Amino acid sequence: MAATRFAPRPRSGAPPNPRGRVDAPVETAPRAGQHAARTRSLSRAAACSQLHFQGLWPGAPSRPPSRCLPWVVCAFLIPAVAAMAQADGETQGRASLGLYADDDRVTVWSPTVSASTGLGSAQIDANASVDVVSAASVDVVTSASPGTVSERRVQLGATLRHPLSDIVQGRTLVIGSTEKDYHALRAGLGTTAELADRNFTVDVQVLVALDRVTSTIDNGLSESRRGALLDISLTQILDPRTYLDLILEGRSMVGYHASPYRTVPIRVPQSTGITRLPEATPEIRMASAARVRVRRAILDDLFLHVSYRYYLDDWEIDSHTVYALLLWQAAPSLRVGGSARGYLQSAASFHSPRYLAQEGDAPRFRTADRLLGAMDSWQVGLTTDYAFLAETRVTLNTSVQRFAYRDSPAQTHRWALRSSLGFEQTF
Amino acid sequence: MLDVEAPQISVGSSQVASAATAPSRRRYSWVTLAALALAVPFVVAGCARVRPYQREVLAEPGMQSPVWPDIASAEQHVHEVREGSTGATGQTGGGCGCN
Repeated sequence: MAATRFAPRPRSGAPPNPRGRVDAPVETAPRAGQHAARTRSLSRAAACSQLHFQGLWPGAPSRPPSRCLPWVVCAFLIPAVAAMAQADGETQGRASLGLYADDDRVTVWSPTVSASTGLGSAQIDANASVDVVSAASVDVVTSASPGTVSERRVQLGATLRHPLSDIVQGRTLVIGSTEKDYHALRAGLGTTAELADRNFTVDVQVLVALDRVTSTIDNGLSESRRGALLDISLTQILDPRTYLDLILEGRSMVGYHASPYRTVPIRVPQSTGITRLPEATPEIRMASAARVRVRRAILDDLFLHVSYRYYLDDWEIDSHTVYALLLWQAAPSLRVGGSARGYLQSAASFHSPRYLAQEGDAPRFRTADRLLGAMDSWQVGLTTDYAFLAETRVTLNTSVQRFAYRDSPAQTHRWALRSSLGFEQTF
Repeated sequence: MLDVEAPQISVGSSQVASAATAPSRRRYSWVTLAALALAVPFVVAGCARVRPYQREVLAEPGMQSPVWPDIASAEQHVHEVREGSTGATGQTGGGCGCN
């Protein structure tokens, strides 16, 4: 094992090494006690980071974003819940418990509750979920933390749907999530119009995104990312048994895209040493995707959904996704569905597992993140739901997924199991 | 953790990125063209009309998308944090156990 000196990412502002200058290899042999001292230092830094966050948004007063964000979301959630209490329409409550576990020693438990109800002509949906993460993956062991980390992510969301006319419906939505070192907010508007005697449906949704990235090992780090997301869905009834969908997605994000924990190995010419620099990516990422989907009733009780999605962004990642779901209405109260999904992705133009510093300069953009390298994933799943007592439904879902990373010598593949059990009650 | 294990790889010339490489946008416009091409069937299909009384099968729960919204949302979140091509789905980040 070769230990290298980690160069912590500089604070926002003028970095001390803006060109990624590599003066000399800094590879050193590990010394006894060094690791333990660093571990203690990291623990202190992680504790301090809880006390010294900067503002959630640029220019905002200093305050812990983990306290600020829930208030923002609650500002939307409380009216939604209050409205539900006065609901005069049908109300549905849902609760589920999800589990994600993989052979990279990551486990995520995800309890979720959600409710929807009618209020006059409007409908309100609200949901809350928690991801309880326990991880000792390659990412954790090689970068952020001395061993296993436990983390909790809380997400709250609310949507208000309201008719604008006989054929047009509008909606307002907000979603926020917060965890120890990542805070995200999405808010936006959407509208659905049914045209051509309701044979053709157009749905447009625009979201603004505000993210804040902090670090548990660098308490001075506070970076932002903001952008806009556009989603356009066109649905056409082809015949009495078939829908055809076209979904167009656009996304533009500006700001900090790198991870504060990841470093990149840099080889210096005429040297046997390897040094590591913080990951650096372009500030702008623009992406778009198009998806075509066909939904067809093969028989009166057998339904097939097939889709293909093509994605491309200006980092030159493109991907192909195929998905199929075969659903059998086995009985009036019992449904069984089997699904399969395949995903192929190319690497970002600046991605490499290892870089070469020419004339002492490291590449301006550099990442060894395996998610930005060439990869593929394959997934099969089985879902069944059963309705009983006329107003209660139980859903059980299990899927297995294999991720293969073609540009990651440290981890070539990962197997993951995802399962969930959900209940739905109509009042 | 500050001690980082170097990947056990043999570095050949094909694996080494040499200089600063800025991502280009030369292929970006292809998506616009592809989207327009894909929209053509919708224009053509727009001529077809299915009457309300013919939509009994289309109204079945098995024809809706997504069939199970909560499961679809959870799956989407996994894909967002485990794969490199993200979409305009409104999913928020994190929760990946990768920090």
